[in-house]
Amino acid sequence: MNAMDHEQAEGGELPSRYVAGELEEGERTEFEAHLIECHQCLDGVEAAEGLRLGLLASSAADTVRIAVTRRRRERPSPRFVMALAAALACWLVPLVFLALSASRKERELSTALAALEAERARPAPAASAAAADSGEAARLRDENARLAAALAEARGPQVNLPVLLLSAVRSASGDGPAPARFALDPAAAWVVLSLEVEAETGVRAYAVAVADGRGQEVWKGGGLRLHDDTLTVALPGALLPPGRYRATVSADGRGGRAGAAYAFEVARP
Amino acid sequence: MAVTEAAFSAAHPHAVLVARIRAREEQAAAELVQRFGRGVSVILRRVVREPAAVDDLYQDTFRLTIEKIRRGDPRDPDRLPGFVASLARNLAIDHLRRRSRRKVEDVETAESFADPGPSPLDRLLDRERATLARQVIDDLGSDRDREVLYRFYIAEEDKDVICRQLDLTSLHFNRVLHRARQRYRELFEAAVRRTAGGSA
Repeated sequence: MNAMDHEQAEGGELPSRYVAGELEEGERTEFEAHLIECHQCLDGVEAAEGLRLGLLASSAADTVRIAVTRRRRERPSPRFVMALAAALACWLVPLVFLALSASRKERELSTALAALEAERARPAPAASAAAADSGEAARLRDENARLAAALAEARGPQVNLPVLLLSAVRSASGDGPAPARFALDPAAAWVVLSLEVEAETGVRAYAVAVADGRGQEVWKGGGLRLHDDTLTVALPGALLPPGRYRATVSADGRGGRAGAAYAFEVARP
Repeated sequence: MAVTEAAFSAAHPHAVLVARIRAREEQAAAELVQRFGRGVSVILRRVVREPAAVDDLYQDTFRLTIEKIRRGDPRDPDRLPGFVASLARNLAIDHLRRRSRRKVEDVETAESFADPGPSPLDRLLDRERATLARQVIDDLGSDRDREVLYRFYIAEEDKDVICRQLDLTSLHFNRVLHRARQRYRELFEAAVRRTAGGSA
């Protein structure tokens, strides 16, 4: 058996392979005969062994961490919770709007009724004018009733809102992969778009624009804030008839320069 | 004459030591331990994991080596390193066999003992090694190099398989391992220096 020299051992990376138990019996015997008196190879074996044990310990720690993370994810995800919170927030906005609108209409109606009563009190009103006033009062009453019904409906819980979870496909220009496809119930009053966004340093708010397949803008808005790397927007279902759409996210206040794009398609179930 | 002895000693570094052990020179046994002690420890630890057993086997290896040298082994003194290495490995393997038999007997007589698990010191060492290993992983240049380390050391995949699947040359593979263990060693030595500095 020829004695192994250090260059040979080092060149074949024998210290690492020895530690990994990868050497054949003959090669291992020869290497051990060299190793036992080669301090450089002993350094190498000790370092490789330390590295192997460190990787194992690190791997074990990572495995535990992953298991813990998985358990956490089995609970409702923060992203899902945020989407629901956004949906509720978006439900409250029209509710307040409807309440204010109904109140205004009620005031208008009261004014109109008071004017009508005053007009009736006058002697010999013109028949055509009275009929016109009566028609206006009836229209206002109908409007008030309609708004009251809408308010009552809006005050009820909004459930089964479809949530479209969207991931950025790439930068805003050019074509990307096939869009995510969602089957939406035409009866859905609201649809929540949940956009996964990679946070940009120094950006406090984002703007979102949604356009249809022909590039016609469907909706846009600004001042959106990231929660758990997600922006959420609730849109009236009527804004999203079947077809392809493209949402773009940009840092609010950068002149609309798009940062990320999300392609999706709405279909009927 | 002195020049000839020096030349002979340089060409056959172990022959003089073997001769001195055979002449029962006490200092020669100490030199034997000094020359091969670290290597014997490393070989024993590769086979046997329990530190207490390694200590016993270390003593046995040198006691047996000296006895055998005095009885005329190895015939070729140049083979002394391989001789000591084989002796250490054989003793370690024999220890494992005996321990395995004892375990079977323990089970049969219901006298087995619970595994005490890693000691606090072992856990501390594991944590420190893990920190250094993570640093090594972070310092590696590419994800492919990181994958090489994980597959080789953790998944214990064969070098040829890793090279083929990752389209690596054997040279590149060796470089990755070499660089990683060099970096580990640097970090380890720096950590030791910090500890020594902190305790000084």
